[in-house]
Amino acid sequence: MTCNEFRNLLNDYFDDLLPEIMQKQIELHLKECSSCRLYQKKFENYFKAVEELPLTINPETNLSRRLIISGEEESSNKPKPELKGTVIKRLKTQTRVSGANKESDDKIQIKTPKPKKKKVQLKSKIKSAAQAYDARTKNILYNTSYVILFSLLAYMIYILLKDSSAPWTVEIKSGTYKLNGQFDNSFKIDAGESISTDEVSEVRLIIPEIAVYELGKNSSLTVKKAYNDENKVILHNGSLNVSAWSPNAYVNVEFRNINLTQYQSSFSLNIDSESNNIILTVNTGDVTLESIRENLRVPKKHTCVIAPNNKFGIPVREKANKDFKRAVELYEQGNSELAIVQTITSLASDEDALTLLEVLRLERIFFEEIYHRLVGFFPPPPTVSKEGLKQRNSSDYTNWWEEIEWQI
Amino acid sequence: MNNKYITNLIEAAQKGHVNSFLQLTDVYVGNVYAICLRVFVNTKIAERVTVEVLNHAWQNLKHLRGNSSFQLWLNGITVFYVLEEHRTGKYSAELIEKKIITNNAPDLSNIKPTSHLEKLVLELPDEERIMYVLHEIIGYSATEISDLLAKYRPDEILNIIRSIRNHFIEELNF
Repeated sequence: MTCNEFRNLLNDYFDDLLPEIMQKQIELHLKECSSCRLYQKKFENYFKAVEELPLTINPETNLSRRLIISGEEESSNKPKPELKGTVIKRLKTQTRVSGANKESDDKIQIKTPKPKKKKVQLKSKIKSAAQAYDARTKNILYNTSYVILFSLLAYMIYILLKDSSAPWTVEIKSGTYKLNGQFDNSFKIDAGESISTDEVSEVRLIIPEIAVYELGKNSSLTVKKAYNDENKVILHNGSLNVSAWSPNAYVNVEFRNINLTQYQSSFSLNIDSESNNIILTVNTGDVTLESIRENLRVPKKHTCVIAPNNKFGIPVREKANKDFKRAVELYEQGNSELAIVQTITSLASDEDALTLLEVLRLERIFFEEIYHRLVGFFPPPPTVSKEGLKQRNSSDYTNWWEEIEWQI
Repeated sequence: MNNKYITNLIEAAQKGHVNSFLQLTDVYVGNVYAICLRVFVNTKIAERVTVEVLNHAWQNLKHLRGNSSFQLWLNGITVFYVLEEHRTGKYSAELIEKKIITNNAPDLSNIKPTSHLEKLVLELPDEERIMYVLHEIIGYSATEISDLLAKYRPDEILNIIRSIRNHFIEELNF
């Protein structure tokens, strides 16, 4: 590698955008060239200065207090409590008045008994009044039921329109696409519709201000849910990249009866047509896989292979040591002899703690070796017991992982 | 991922305990404000947007799943609000109307940069500063920034960031 090439690639090197082989070439060149070492040192100093920038700056005013005040303002808009007292008083007064009237009516009836004829007249009056009342009640019931029915219908339409994030925009990256099996020029896709690409085409499905689904070549998916707060596609085959950034929405994927849920993450899924393995790579955020048998959380910068029988593989850090990755792969294939376990423990760094924890969960014979390696990186919190780990107690594993994750 | 203290506060806040949420805000308000201040370079706008972010967080705490990092979630909301304000100028317009500020231009007079680098960041033009804060300080990728800003391609963003980087390295005389 020449010095010019080195300097051109140095930004990529620091941005983690170079493949492993190029990174090694950069490191090799650094060992050989002193002027480039000086040049690289400047970058290192710069990144150190960026890292030293404070992540928190405290505002001069107490913003928490402002939050409380805004809460109080909101509550002041609600009906004031004194109103209740007024209403109760009014009700009491009305009761007293109606009670007095009733008393006086009774007195009048006792003093002046009504003649028989009048009683008959009264009976017929009551009868006709009852009939009129029945008819009126029927009308009211009919009218009310119509009003309720229409209101319900309008409300349902309102909810559907309000909550729908569909139709999504389809943007072509290359080639053409098929919507429900036919070539399409509408550049829109709605819930329940399917989209497919061929060997030269790629498309982006855009949910404005929420997320982008990027469908790769020879891929197809169906839009299952398209609400503002929950969007979901079913990936049938091929590859899919997802970037979700809205703080108010879930953007999820279903494939082979596995539910992938995530929140503000970016990740890619690739269904290998030959091996039928599914490779999940999480770039940012974290992703949870749920099948009938198991659940697995894959954090950012980790890759996980899902076997054709839907068994989740051990998540491995993308930038983990190559030999470490190979050893984990061999371990997953059933080679759990001491040499493999020793390779895993000796090459693991603290950032590989999740991988070690998953190996620990599977390991029975060499449990102690892996346990001690992990303890060396992150001692377990008091809520985690070694016995619990040995007995595959899931809460022990979750608690330890929680303790580790916020530290890395 | 959150530690036990934060997890307990989140759980209590999700059940509606305002005090737990206020304790959470005490921990994270500095992070939110730092992003807002570096983007807007104006203490009043930064404070206004911070309050809005925290209000939004309070109202949408139910969306936060138990195993998600609160800080990442809050960062996401902050970036969303910061970009919304950058696009619409809604909150700065409100502050101008209330005569709290006269305009939404960066105002360095009330800010004391902690380092030379910080000063250089605050002096960048608006969009370059947003890209720089998102990429170099918060850690968003160029592709993510491109999706968020919907204005530049990822390679354009990387070029801008790198030219700023080179400029800073020269200025800081490393």
